[in-house]
Amino acid sequence: MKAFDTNQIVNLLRGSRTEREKALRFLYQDDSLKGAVIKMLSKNRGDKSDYDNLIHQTLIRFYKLCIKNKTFELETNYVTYILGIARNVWKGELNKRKKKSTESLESDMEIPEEALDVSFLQDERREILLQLLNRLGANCREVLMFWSQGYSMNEIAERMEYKSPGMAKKKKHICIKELFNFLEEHPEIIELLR
Amino acid sequence: MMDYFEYIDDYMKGELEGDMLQEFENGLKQNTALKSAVENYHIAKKLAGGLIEYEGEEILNKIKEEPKGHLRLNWVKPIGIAAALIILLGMVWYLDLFKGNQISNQEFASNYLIEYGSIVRSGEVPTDSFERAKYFYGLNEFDSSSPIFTELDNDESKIYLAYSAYKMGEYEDVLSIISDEEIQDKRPIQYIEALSLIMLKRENEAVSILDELSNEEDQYGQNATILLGKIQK
Repeated sequence: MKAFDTNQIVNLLRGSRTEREKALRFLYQDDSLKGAVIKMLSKNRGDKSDYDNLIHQTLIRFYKLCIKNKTFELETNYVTYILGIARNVWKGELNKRKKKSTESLESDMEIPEEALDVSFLQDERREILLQLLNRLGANCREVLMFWSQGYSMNEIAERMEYKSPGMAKKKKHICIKELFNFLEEHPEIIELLR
Repeated sequence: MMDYFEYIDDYMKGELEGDMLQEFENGLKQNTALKSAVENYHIAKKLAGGLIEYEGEEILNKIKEEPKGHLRLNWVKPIGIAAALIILLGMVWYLDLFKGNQISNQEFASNYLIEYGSIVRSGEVPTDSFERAKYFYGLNEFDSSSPIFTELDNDESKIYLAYSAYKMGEYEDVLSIISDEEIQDKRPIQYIEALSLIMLKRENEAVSILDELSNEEDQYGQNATILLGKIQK
């Protein structure tokens, strides 16, 4: 598999669906990242069985961070940075298990809020999103995803490989109408997300 | 008539002006769907933002479900499958370490070796013994370099001897050469020891050495971290 450097990874994660998939696949299969996370776990009351769940949670946070924060740039190696997120997630998990870590899990790096967000997809919210997804086509999902983070029509067109920003605007128009219709039909969802 | 939803983003950003703004605001008074959309605009964005996490999960789950490696069996007739299984079973003990990675021992041994010292591969044969030994070592002529290194019997020579043994696939010899306590704390020696242990299928012993090496961020440390990840697979 082709190796990517830190900047390439961040750019790919903000790119088209194929590029996002490529970057996540690279990170998920990267041995140096895996080795570093397993080592951190083994020093902090975790073991190999915790790895899958931890790397999943960690990569999702990193994924969200790269897409949500368009200006975010990594100034350190991606392994070091993602390990910082993993330490944070693991700290939360240990707290849940009411166990203390054997070493400090405080990260030396400043990790933006977006990467520390609690998962949006919890319980009822996941159900809501599934209902919404049943209404939307794959393209609408992507357009709305980028629209929600303030990407311009130009940026959306690039990522969706549309011919022009005008086409992205047209698609966004159709998709947000569908989204607002969905919300109007489900006032209980509005209450839940308020 | 204005299609209000086309301008809702501009309105929310305060970028609608003049007649357009007037028309939009009139629409807000008459169109309940538009009024509700404006009221719930931020909630709609929040909900749409959840799609990022959903997509990330979707991609990761897809990656996890992908078969490891690229072995395709579609074309294989039943008898071929049986033959392949027999061959595979025979290879399992041999490639035990490299689960999912379809990499041969030879490839592994050379892929992860970090060359020691500066190598001279051209020019005249040096007259100085140590330089002459290094010269032959650089040409992989270990039969010529090893006797000189052995005779010199200093720390540097022992390291070259260990690396020569590793390159020749004599992993037990590597361990025997580096048993000298004086060179055991050198990182190139610890690294070659870990590689040799892996080649001898003594991964458990290799892990503690790699763990130690991975604490520093030099080339040995970086490779050690990768190898730790591979061993855990």
